Amino acid sequence: MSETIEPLYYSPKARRIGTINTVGLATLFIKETTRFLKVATQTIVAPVVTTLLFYTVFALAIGSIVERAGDVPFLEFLGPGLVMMGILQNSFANTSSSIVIAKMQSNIVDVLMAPLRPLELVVAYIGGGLTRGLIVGACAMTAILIVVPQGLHNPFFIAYHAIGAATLLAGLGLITGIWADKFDHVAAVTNFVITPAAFLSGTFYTIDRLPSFAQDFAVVNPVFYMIDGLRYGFIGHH
Amino acid sequence: MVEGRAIARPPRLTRLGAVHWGGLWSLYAMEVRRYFRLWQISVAGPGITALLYLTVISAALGAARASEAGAFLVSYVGTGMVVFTAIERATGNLAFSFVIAKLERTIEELLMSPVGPGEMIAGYIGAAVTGASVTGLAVALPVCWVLGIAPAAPLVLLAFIPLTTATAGGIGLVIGLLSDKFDHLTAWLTFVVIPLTFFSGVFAPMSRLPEWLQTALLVSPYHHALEGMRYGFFGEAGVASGATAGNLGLNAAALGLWLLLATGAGWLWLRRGYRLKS
Repeated sequence: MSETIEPLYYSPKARRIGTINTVGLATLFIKETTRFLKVATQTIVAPVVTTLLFYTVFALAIGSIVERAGDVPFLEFLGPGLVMMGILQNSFANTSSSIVIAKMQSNIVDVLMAPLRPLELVVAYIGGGLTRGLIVGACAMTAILIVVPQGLHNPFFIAYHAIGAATLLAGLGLITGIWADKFDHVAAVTNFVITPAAFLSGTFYTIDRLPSFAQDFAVVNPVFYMIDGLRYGFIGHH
Repeated sequence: MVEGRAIARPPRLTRLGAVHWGGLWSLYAMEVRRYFRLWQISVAGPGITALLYLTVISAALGAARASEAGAFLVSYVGTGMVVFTAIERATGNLAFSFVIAKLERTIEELLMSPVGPGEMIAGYIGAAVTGASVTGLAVALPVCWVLGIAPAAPLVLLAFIPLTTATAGGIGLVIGLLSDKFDHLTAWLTFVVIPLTFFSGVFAPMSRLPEWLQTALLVSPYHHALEGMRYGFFGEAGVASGATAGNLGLNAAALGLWLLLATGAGWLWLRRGYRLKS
C-alpha cells in the first residue's frame, strides 16, 4: 500500500482549428440569429404588421382606381413587392445594427479577437441577416396569402430571389455597419439609400410607368431584378 | 499696508415666481437644439420619405393619374403626408427624448432641477411644436410645388399646425413616460400610432373604410388633425371634393380635448414621478 498515487493532471489540449473554424462560425451565427429572435416582436412581428398596413392602405387608396397593374389584378401585383420590401429592409437592418451597436458598446473587440477569419465573419453575419430577412419574408408572405389567397407560380424563383435579395442586403448592411461611426450614419443610409431603393424599384408599379431615364436605371438596379423575380415566382407575370 | 479683502457676500437666492421662466426656456432651447442638430433625421429624412410615398402613389396610378379620381388621390396623399410627417416627428422625437433620458439617467437631472411638471410639459411640447412645424413646412414646400397648389386657407393652417403638433407631442409625452426601453417605444409607434394615423385618412379618405371603423375612428385625434389641415390646404374646394368634411370647430375641439388629456396625464405622472421615481 505504499504505492504513490499519481495526481491526475488535466492539461487542456490546444484546440485544433482546421480550415474552417466551424465552432466559431456556428457560434457567431447563432448569436446573430438569437439576437433578433429574442426581440421577435420588434424584428419580425413589427415588419409583418407594417407590411399588412401598407397592403391595406394601398389597396384602399389605389385599389379602387387602378384595377390592374400590367396584366394582373393590382392586389396580386402588390403583395410580392411588399414581401420583398420587408426582406430588403430587415436583412439590411440586422447586420448594420449588429455591427454598429457592437462598435458603440465596444463588444466588437470580442468579435475581432476571436479566431475567426474574415470570411467566416462575413459568412456568419450575412447568415444572420439572411435568416432574419427570410423569416420576415416568409411571415409576410403567409400573412398576405391569408388575406389574398393566390397560388404560387414558381416556388424556385421565389426561393432564389428571396435568398439572393436577403444575402445582398445583408452584405450591404455589413458594409454600412463597418463604415458607420454612429447609429445616425446607419439611419441616414437607411433613409436615403435603402428605403428609396425598396420603394422605387417596381414594388408598387410596373417599371414602364416611370420616365425613360428611370427605366434605364432599372436595368442596373439589382433590387429591381429581385422584386421582378419574386413577383414572377408568385404570379407568373412581371 | 494692509490690503482690504472683499468680504464674500452670500449668494443671492434666485426668486422663482409661479413659473420658472429661465428653466422653461432652457428646457425648450435644449430640446429644439437637439432636434435640429440631427436635421438629417429630423427634417431631411422625413421629407425624402414623404416625397417617396407621393412618387410611388403617383407612379402606381399610371395613366389614371390624369383622371379626376387619380388627381384627387395624389393631392390627398400629398397633403396627408405633410400632416403625417409633422405628427410622426412630434410624437417620435418627444417620446425618444424621454426614453433616452431614462436610459442614460439624465432624467435624474431633469427631475432634480427646479422645474415643475408644468414647465417641463411646456418646454418639451413647445420644442415638439417648433421642430415638427419646421419639418412639416420642409415637406409642405416641395409637395405644394409638385402638386402645384398653394394653401387655400392659410389662417386655418396656421391655427391647426400648432394644435396638431402640440397634441401629437402630448401623445409622444405619454408614450415616452410609459416606455422604459426603446422596444416599448417602437412597439407603441409601430402598432398603435402609425396604423391609427394611416387609417385616419392619410392615404385614403375614411369613407373607404367599413362603417363601424369610420365611426370608431372619429375619436382619433389624427382624423381631426388631417381634416383641419386639409381644409387649410384646399379650402372650400376640399369640402366639395370630399377631401375634408370641414367641421373646423369639431376638429379643433377634438384636438384640444386630446391635448388636454395627454398633457393632463403627463402632468399628473410627472408630478408623481410615475415610472420615474420609486
